[in-house]
Amino acid sequence: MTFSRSDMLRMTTVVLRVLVGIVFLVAAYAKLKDPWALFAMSIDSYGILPLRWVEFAARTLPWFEVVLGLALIAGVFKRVTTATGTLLMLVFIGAMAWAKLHGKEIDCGCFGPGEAIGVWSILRDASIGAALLFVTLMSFWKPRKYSV
Amino acid sequence: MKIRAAAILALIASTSSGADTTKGNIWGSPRAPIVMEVYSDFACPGCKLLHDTELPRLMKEYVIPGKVYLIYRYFPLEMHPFGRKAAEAVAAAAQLGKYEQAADIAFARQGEWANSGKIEETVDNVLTAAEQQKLKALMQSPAVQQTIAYDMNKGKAIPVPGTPTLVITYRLRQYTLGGREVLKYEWVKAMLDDLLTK
Repeated sequence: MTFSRSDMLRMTTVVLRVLVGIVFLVAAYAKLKDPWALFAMSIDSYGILPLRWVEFAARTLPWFEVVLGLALIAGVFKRVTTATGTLLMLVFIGAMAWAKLHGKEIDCGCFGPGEAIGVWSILRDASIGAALLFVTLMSFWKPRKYSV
Repeated sequence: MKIRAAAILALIASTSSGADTTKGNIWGSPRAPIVMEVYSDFACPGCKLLHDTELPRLMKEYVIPGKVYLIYRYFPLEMHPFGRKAAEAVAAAAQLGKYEQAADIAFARQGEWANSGKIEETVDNVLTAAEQQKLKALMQSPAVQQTIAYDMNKGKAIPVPGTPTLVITYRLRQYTLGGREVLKYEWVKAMLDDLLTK
């Protein structure tokens, strides 16, 4: 059994999409199992959002991650979900890099409380972002059909 | 299963008030649904802010109505050269029944003694002449040293990432707030209200 290059790409895309979907679900569960105020504290520590937006983000973001994770795993609305996920990861990476550059020794808030922002957390999110960007590009890509 | 049982036992041990080691730094009803431990360093500016602004509101809204059992724990950080000495002075004053007065003045005059190291003189202001004479000996007494060691070990076991840190225990679950996050009253209140409505 042989696989063509486009088959391999398609399989890689599916695996990455499902893996990233699982990561989103794990991140959402880590936040939802605790009171929302705990996540609000993590968001507030970045000092980027005003208080009322912090509460809104803390209450809605984990559920948004659930929806996104499930959609990525199920493979529905691929272009929208992968592009949204990529943008979300860009926001997360940007916020972490901003906090790090400003010397803030705060929690990342990525997978619930207890993880400080560091090179590892930024690299991890960058890898997830890169994987999602790849999946997004693939969802827009149409393989050429060759005629023999 | 064994691991879970051990974890529950450890949690029960860690949530016990440690009545043999704490003196004067406990408020509220032991039957309150939530236990809140405040890991604090008298030389830490964030701890002063918590003590001066958030604590009175917490007392009024949660501790006095019997919703929260509050324990202040000594957690002097090595980065503060006189933090340990301050903890010893306040814990010694607690042995004399003057924890609150000593803690209040230690925080109020933090800016003075944190540089000079004159914490004993600061605490002396709330003691009688007879009590002042006992303070130095009490600071090195086993009771005071054990109290601080007990709190420090408890904090390190959690682990407490910095000060001030609030450790909230509710139905055998522990939540650590602060250390790295900004401790705002809004979030602490939201957290407590959320737990109390569960």
